[in-house]
Amino acid sequence: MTVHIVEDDYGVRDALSELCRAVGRTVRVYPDGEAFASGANVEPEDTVLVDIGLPGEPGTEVVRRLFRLPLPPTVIVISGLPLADIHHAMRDFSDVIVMRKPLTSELLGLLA
Amino acid sequence: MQGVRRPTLSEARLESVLETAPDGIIVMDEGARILVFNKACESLFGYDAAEVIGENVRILMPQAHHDNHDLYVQRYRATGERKIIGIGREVEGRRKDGSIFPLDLSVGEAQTPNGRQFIGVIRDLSARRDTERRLASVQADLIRVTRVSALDEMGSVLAHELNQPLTAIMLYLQALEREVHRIQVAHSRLEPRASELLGKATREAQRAGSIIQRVRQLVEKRAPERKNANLNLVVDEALELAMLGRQRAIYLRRFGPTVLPGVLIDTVQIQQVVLNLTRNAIEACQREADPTVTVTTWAEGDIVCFSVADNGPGIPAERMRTLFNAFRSEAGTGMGIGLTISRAIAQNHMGELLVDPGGDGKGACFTVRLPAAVDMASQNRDSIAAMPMAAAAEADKS
Ligand SMILES: Nc1ncnc2c1ncn2[C@@H]1O[C@H](COP(=O)(O)OP(=O)(O)OP(=O)(O)O)[C@@H](O)[C@H]1O
Ligand SMILES: [Mg+2]
Repeated sequence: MTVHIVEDDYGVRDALSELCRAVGRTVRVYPDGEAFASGANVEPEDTVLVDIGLPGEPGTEVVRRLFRLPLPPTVIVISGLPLADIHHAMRDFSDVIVMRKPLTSELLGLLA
Repeated sequence: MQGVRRPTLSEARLESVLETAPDGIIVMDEGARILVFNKACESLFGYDAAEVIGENVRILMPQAHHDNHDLYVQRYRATGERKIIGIGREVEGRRKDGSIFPLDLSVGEAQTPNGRQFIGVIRDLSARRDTERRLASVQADLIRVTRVSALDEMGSVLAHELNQPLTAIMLYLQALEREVHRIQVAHSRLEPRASELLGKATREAQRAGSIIQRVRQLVEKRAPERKNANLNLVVDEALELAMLGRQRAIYLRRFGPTVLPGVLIDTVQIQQVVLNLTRNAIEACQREADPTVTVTTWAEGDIVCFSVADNGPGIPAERMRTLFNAFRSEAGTGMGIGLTISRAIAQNHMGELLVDPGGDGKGACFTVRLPAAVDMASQNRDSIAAMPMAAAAEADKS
């Protein structure tokens, strides 16, 4: 039931992890895709929050790898890009949830 | 024997000068009759010398100037007032086929045993005019590119930069609300002041959010206009802009395969990125003995890339952390927004902007990676070897 947060902006990353903890989730944070790839142990019941605009490996790659898992976790993509662009970037993945920054309380519903 | 005198040595020399001169040379007498019409003139005007010798020089001018010319000659003869003699100026010439072309005309005069003669030296300006016209249109492009982007990009960069901390603030507030709620439950007492203040803070954060939303709507309405483009051409055009008006010579090297997969891009925005990176590169290597900027295009599977490298000092490690933060320029002249904008544009195209900081005698290298347009990618996948082929072009000399 861990929430993995892959986000390069410190403020957003920390605030996300505070909010997740406030609703009782265990949290792990990663500043980029590489750190996530090498350090994360993702279970099917986990949730992964991925920013698309990451330095280095793009968020789309992180998502691609997650969906190659036999039992992928819940994937939520967050980005400041226009929603249409986020959907376009995620067109290969049907099960992904996308949200635009700033994030509304909708997110809480998904995490709680 | 007297009639068929052989040319003297100096006459022969004059003859060969006239025939080999790159400029058109015309000699005429006081009555504006053509006496000499050299080889260069023949190709400039399309007449053979034999056709024009003895004719009034007017046949080489557009109709509209005929009367003026007669007037000039008359007036000069009467008053000595100079419109052109010893001055030189741009006038129009008329070819045998009637076409008009711009030329630079310098006129000198000489007193000879046969009376006063005028010598005209003519240089064809059509080529230069074309260059000037091209330059003017390129310059207009540059202004358009920078102006459009300055506004749009400023807006989107501001919106993006503010959106991040605002996102954090709103999340913190939600977490805080939870925390307050938890405390209230744990101590089974209400904290009305805390809830009230939280509510106010949340409303203000939302107000900021809606302002950002409005800016984004403005910017995004005009924003991405994606066309399937050839990255080689897009890059070349932007480089031409970047090299315009350079004070010092910069050696520009350009490598890339002839065929690249297409990319779905907003060409103006991507050119803005090329411009930003190239200007930074030029700035960085200006003080080198042989300032060199190397621009390469290539493809890696479904990704189409270009890089801009220079032979400057590279980027120091401590600078790297804040490199992409807006408004932190150290160059002094810039706003420090170029890289922020460039990365935002790359990301808006689902691509990325990478930096190799260089150092230790190596300059910095910035690489932009863009996804190939889907249909094109499969077609050209074989021709993507990154063999450097194209031209080395040198920028304007000072
Ligand atoms: N090729 C490079 N080599 C060394 N330093 C560089 C290079 N490119 C960028 N930099 C450093 O990064 C800083 C930020 O660049 P950026 O393009 O964002 O802003 P700027 O060039 O200072 O201003 P402007 O907003 O006019 O582009 C530069 O001031 C410079 O210190
Ligand atoms: Mg710059």
